[in-house]
Amino acid sequence: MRRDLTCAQIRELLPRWTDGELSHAEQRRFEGHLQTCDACRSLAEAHRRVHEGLELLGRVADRIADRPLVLRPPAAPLLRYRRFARIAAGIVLIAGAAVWLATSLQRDRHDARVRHVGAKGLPPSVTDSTPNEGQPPATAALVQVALFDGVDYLQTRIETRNPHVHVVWLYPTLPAEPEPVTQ
Amino acid sequence: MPQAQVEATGGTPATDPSCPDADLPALRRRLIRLAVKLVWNRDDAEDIVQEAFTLALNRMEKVPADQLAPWMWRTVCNLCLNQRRRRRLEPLSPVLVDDREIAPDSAASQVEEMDRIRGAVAELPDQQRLALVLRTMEGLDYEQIAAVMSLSSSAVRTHVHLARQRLVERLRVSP
Repeated sequence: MRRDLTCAQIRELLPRWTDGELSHAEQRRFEGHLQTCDACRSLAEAHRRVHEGLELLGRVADRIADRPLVLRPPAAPLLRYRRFARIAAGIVLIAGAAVWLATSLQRDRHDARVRHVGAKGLPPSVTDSTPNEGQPPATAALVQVALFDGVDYLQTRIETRNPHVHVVWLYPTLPAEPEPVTQ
Repeated sequence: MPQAQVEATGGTPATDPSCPDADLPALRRRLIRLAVKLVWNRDDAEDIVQEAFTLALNRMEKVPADQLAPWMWRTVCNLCLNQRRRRRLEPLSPVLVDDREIAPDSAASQVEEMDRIRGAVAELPDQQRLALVLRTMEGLDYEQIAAVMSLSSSAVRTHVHLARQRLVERLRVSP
């Protein structure tokens, strides 16, 4: 009767056992050792589980490879450019918002300038160089105004439709002296 | 190769990398299966096999007709190894959940086990991973793998054994 295999011999035979290459006699001796050795049985079981997992993984991969490809029908001509239309609409919206914001900021800057003049509480001498008899322009206008606070003499141009600008028309008195300083 | 594995993988001439008379559609299908096992992405696998055929066409003079199949297997393997480094693994769950071999009540644990094995295989060194995939998933025998990898049969056996040992160690310690 042959003696039992040792644990070292089991480890040597393990690859061939996993591949199913052991002879009938080797297989019987191999499994006989596993029945008496917990460590080798645990090791062989781990190899068997990994091997079976890999085989199952291989079959899953084959199914992935053999699946018929799903071909999508070509999109309608208008829908084909839907993505570009969305991008273009987004660009138009952003550009519109930017223009509106810039216009709004510009208007606020004019308002701030005019309000600042009024907030000084000075009796600013404001006049316009436009020949419309001190009346506010009915439509968009290029208004030439001169501001004098007793020390400095400022001159500016305001191009606006903003009704807030009309506050400068509350003081339609012409400045007397000194001479205007052109900036 | 065990006969059962030959039959399970549809032992046509195209399944044998050393067979000179591999018909091209069968060879292409088999190479796509191989590529999927290495890159785990169907579209990438199709692209890789297409690229391999293009290379073969461009080098027709340098590739003898009787060497086309092994040359294609080798080329697909190399292209897959390069491709694999650039992309992360995609989730396997949808495919496994539909698998008829898996009982619905154990599907979640099976999916988790498959993903663990797949992740562990992906971290193997290239030679070991390739040898293991060709042996265990493709069912090639060691001589055929040696021809594809341009190695000796004993070297292939060593790569496969080391790969299995690594997987066992990795999957034993991981929760």
